[in-house]
Amino acid sequence: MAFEVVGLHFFADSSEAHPVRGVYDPQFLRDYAVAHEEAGFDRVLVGQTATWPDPLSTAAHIAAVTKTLKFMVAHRPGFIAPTMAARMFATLDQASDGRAGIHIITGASDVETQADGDYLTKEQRYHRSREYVEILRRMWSSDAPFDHAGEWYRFNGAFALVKPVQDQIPVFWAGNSDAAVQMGAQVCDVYAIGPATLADTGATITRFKQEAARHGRNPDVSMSMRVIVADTEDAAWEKAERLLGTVMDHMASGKQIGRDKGDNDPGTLALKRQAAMGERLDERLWTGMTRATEGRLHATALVGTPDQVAAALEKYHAIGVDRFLLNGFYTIDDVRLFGEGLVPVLRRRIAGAV
Amino acid sequence: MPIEINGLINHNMASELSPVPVSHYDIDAIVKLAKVQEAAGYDRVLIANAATMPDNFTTAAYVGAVTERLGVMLAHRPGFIAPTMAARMLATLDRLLGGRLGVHIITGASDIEMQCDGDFHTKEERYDRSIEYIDILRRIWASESPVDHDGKWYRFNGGYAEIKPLNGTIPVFFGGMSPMAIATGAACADVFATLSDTVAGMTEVVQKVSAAAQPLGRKPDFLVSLRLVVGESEDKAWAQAADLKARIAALEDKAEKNKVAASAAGFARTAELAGKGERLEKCFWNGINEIRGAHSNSGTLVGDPDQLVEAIMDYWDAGVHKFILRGYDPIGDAEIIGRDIIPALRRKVAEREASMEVQ
Repeated sequence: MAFEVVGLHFFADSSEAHPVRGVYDPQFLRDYAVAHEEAGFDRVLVGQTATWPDPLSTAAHIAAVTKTLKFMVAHRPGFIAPTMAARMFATLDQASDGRAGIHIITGASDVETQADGDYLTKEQRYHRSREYVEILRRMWSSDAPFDHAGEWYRFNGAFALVKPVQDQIPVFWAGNSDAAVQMGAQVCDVYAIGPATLADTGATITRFKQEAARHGRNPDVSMSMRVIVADTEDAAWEKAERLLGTVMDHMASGKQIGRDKGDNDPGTLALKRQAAMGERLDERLWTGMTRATEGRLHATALVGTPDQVAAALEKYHAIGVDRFLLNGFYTIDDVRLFGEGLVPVLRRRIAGAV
Repeated sequence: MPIEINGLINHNMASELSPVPVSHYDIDAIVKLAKVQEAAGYDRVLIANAATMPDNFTTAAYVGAVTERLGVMLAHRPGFIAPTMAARMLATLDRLLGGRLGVHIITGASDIEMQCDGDFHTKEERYDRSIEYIDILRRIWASESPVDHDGKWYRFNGGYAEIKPLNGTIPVFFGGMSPMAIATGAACADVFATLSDTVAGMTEVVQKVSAAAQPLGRKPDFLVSLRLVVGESEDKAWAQAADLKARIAALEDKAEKNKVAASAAGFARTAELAGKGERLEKCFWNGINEIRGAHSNSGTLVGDPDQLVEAIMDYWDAGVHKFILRGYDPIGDAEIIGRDIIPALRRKVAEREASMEVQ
């Protein structure tokens, strides 16, 4: 059980508040990583889709300008030979002196996986991901070349000359389907979930932990959450409404906000259902942005003062969330703002609660 | 045609003269090698790739953060990454390197090495696949909209890169010495790259590849990899070479041998060269090739700076405009080459080009 504050890395200075598409800005990458490190974040997620820049090289690049910031590099099995992927992550772990992490993303949508030539069903992909993770771990630990003939992969004499610095590169895992839970519970170190109410989050954690317990395992849970903070609660809600207005204006002018994963994407549908539960859930969980963007992005946010938001997060911690992936709406300004209040307050609260 | 002068980065400070365990990944050494070669005026550094070696994308991306203008020639083996994804990975790296990436496509190596990562195709199949792979890379780099593809080796719907190479595309280097490699390189390479060879050998390569490329409307450039022993005088250079040979011979049983590469046609060519005698042409020296045989890519030019520049210009005149030039001490020799060879060579090429324009 490791408490961690995780940030979300971007390829350019872009968010719902000021969307930019198709830009990859190395200077921003470096500045944003340093800002996360200075704000007290433990780790950053570097995302991956079928059209975005490569997260692995991005992580390696920002490793050069940071000292303690760890990585959660999104990675889709199915497109790189697992033996080669194992060497890639071992190399990142070496270059960063033990800061690599891999976030296995299996589901995405059929549309996205076919864009890179993978025509398996989602169910098949989750089964393949389990074998993939098992191969990664074997490559990271094996002192001698080994052969493998599995359900999805076959090779002879695979080996990594260079091993990770960490005893284990942590394997994060996302997915809500039955296959996602059944396979992930067998292999992941950290189960990553999206923002939801306390009740729904509790149910999600229980389901996953029960499945893992059947295999004698107890993975960590990481929850992503958007955050809007201001000095007073009223100011925070005003900020939320203002932000919503900005996003509505962008959408009215024809800009697409978020990723279009198709009408039947389960993640999109789940977010739409969440938004339909009400605009303010629990004490301060705001779905206004999720509703406006029709579930195309994880925009459900906690709104309040740094202490109020930290108190809300502490409640999630009490029901089993170990790590928090916190992301604002104003990129580097929010990272610095969180560093001034939210992150240290949350740390103090969690330290007191443990 | 401007000259391109490339160096090399290994994942540690190992050399024939000071072996380091190959399992040691040394980021400080990588940073130093990058900074020294950048200061020495190198255009790019080759970062190699093999079935058990550390990953070179990661190393190159890190190098991009600690250098200002150094480029990378990234060795890359098709068959292990979906080409649409590889196109995005390469485009990302190109951006991190300020548009100075070249990709060096390696197809052959050996069946054994390919099977380590799960590729059980024959060499012939792999060359065929490489052509389609490179074609897909270039389409993904260029296309403004998602691409569907249904080829012999790859199929996808809506392949796309939101990120593009800074200069629109990335130069494709291509290595290999078998007849199949020559045919494939002629069909798709921007630069046909070989291991160390003599001017006579390169003249033959240029002729063969150009003849195969011409009917396809293609005109690839050429790269040769050479090692240099730079002395204050000719006599001193040859004395240094003799000393080098003795020291490397003494260490040979400790050296890491590239057993897999030894079966490739390019390395067979090195062994053949070594059989022709210790000294060839003006100052081509096989001393180290003789010791290391087919594990070696160590055809060496030996001489004072003027002699070396003249000998390298013989390659330039034979149609080879890109070079990997390195010594035997990864740091010290890079500094010497940067001081005594690179500026003189660039001046000489500029003079030659100016006189050609006059004609």
